[in-house]
Amino acid sequence: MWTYDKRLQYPIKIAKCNPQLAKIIITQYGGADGELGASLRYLSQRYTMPYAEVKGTLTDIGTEECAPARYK
Amino acid sequence: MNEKNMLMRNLAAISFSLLDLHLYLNTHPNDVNAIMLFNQYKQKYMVLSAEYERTYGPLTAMNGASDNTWKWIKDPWPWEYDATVGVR
Repeated sequence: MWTYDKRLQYPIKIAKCNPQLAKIIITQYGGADGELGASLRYLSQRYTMPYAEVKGTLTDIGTEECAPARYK
Repeated sequence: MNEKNMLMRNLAAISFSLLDLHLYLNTHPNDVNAIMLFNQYKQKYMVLSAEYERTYGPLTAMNGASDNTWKWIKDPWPWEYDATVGVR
């Protein structure tokens, strides 16, 4: 179901190494309330969603939440 | 900022507008104003992405096979340092 573009949603350049900041950011990707978990929740919820517009939106935002974890 | 990254920055801005309009249209499918904007940005995206791909290589695997070589797997990938040269 998925394709991807060979570019970032927002081009970034990491200017210097900052392990303390990295520690915080990684929890936003993979932590309990991170994007990876959110993505999988949206993509599971869509299977029982009765409303077409929400079914589509859950697929769309579930896809979007997935992108940062893969790319950054 | 070099030309490659200028193009990339514009593509990113246009796609972000498209993505936001896309989500809005999910719940407002008959908003003609939003439809018009979506089509306008889509047109801009097509022009700009074609320009980018001509010089710097494919943005989607679908466009990976121009002139008899498979260009999709060419470095750099977006997360690699070389892709960020000229990005501010």
